[in-house]
Amino acid sequence: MVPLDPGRVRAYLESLPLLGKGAEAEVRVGDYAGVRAVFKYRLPKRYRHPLLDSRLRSTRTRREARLLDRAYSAGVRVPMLLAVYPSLGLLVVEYVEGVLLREWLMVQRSGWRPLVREAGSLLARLHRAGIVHGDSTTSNYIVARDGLYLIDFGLSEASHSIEERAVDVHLFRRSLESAHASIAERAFQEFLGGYLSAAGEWGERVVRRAEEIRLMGRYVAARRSVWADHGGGVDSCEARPGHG
Amino acid sequence: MASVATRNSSRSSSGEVVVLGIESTAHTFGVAIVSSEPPYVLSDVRRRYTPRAGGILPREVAAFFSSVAGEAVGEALSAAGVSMREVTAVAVALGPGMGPALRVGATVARALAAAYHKPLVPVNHALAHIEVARFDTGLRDPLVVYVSGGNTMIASFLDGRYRVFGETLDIALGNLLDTFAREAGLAPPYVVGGRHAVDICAEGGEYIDGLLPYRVKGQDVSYSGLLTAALRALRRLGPGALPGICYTLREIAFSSLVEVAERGLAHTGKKQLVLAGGVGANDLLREKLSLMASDRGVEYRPVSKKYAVDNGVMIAITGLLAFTHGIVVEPSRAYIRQRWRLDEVDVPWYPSTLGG
Repeated sequence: MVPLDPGRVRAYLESLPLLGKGAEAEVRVGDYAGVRAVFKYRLPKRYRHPLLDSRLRSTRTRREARLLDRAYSAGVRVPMLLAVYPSLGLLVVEYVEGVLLREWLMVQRSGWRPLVREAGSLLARLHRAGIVHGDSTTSNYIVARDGLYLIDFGLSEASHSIEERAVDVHLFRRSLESAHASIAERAFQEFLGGYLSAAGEWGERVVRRAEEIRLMGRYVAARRSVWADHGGGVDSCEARPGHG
Repeated sequence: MASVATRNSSRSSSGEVVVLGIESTAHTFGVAIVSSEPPYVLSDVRRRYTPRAGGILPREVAAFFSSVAGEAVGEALSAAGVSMREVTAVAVALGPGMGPALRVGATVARALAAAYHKPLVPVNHALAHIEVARFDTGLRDPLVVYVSGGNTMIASFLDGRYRVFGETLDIALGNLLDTFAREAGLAPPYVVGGRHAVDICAEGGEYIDGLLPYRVKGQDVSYSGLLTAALRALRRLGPGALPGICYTLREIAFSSLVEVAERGLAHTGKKQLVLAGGVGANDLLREKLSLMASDRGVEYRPVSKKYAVDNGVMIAITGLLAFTHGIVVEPSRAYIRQRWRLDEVDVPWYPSTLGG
């Protein structure tokens, strides 16, 4: 078990191997109650007032846990939530063994069609559960033995908005174009096929809106992947479990 | 404000490029002379419009600019010890900014270029804030936090241009502070002794947790809800609570900006951080960014306060770099662009700057 003494939790976490470090959190891998687990720890920030800092860390941790749990309960394939300690800014989730879809697509020459299609249906199922991901790039899917998993809900929100769903679809497309240019267009069509097959009657509207966002050329969310193309380090919120 | 640089070298020496730059996008009419050779900045003349009450009215600014433009140009030339004949090119900020104000600078620049047969160089005001910061701080490849009355953005160079990594979804940081100060009866004047009315009011105040909303959405900030909530809190709690509200407003506004700046660093992998723009003169914001940068192991420098606010030097520097890379515009086609975006502008000289 994790020692819950706030004074010792930091030292315990630091004894675990680091998977990655983003702007907001450190991600480490270790054991939780005998299960291999990912520990996402939102770091205290010296530049914020301590009261503001602890409130933000705890509300965000609680929100991320709630959305992850809701997705899991709705049958969306995401890591299982093992524990959450909002006051510590600590989230513990199941470790998913596998490779990032981004890396998988870079290495494999064939067999990508069913995987990308599954990525589309996975995202549609998340949307149907009333959640938008907020950072749905190929770096946030894990190719595991039993299928594809969606990870990192640090920027997620409870939302049924067509606009925000469309941003998710658009972000996936951008990440294909930037990191997997040779198959991008075909892969995106495959992704859309998967998305529409699992979406409700709103699916078509989301896809149309995603196209409009793309045509606007410069969209708030499109900027995210500009840097993802260049492998500019770890994502803002969470590193990637699944490098195992 | 004018500064004079004394130089011994002869200006007729080959290869030297001398640019006259004009800034007139908002409240300051600035004219500066900059050279490609040390000491680079030869003169820096500024005429700032200060409203007696309320906010800035574009037409009043334009009238003020028109009345001071002629003498400002003359003063910049004489302070630099340069004649128009010795000027290589004329640079002007064509946007983004307020139309009537921009028109004055553009008209003066077009007239100078046409009368003296000088090339005219179009300069983007936001780009100029970044370029003067790179020149001034010596950091060549930074992530830039650019904050002013009308702009709030996190930008960074990639593939030929500055890309906007994050920005405000509604009002600018400077606009938030100014509007609150005005509505709360703290301003004008907005800045006294180099400090903003909100900073002065926050002294003796304390942070009140949960009073005001903190809004970061992905890589962007949002300030309009914060402004509304602060004004509502003032009505509810009365003027006695003003120091606490000012303190809290500032804490939340700056902290959310620093947070998206940190996301920008994590995403882009940049190892340098620069603070630019008029609000960049704010001491608390400087300190918060400094704490974040040192925790991340990133080299950080804010632009010096004299170049944080609008000035002609930044236009002349950027104009000089652009001119030496072949960027000029026909005077008849030098249209102002009130909403000229930073990421539309090519920056072929990057990462070099004046002096290398």
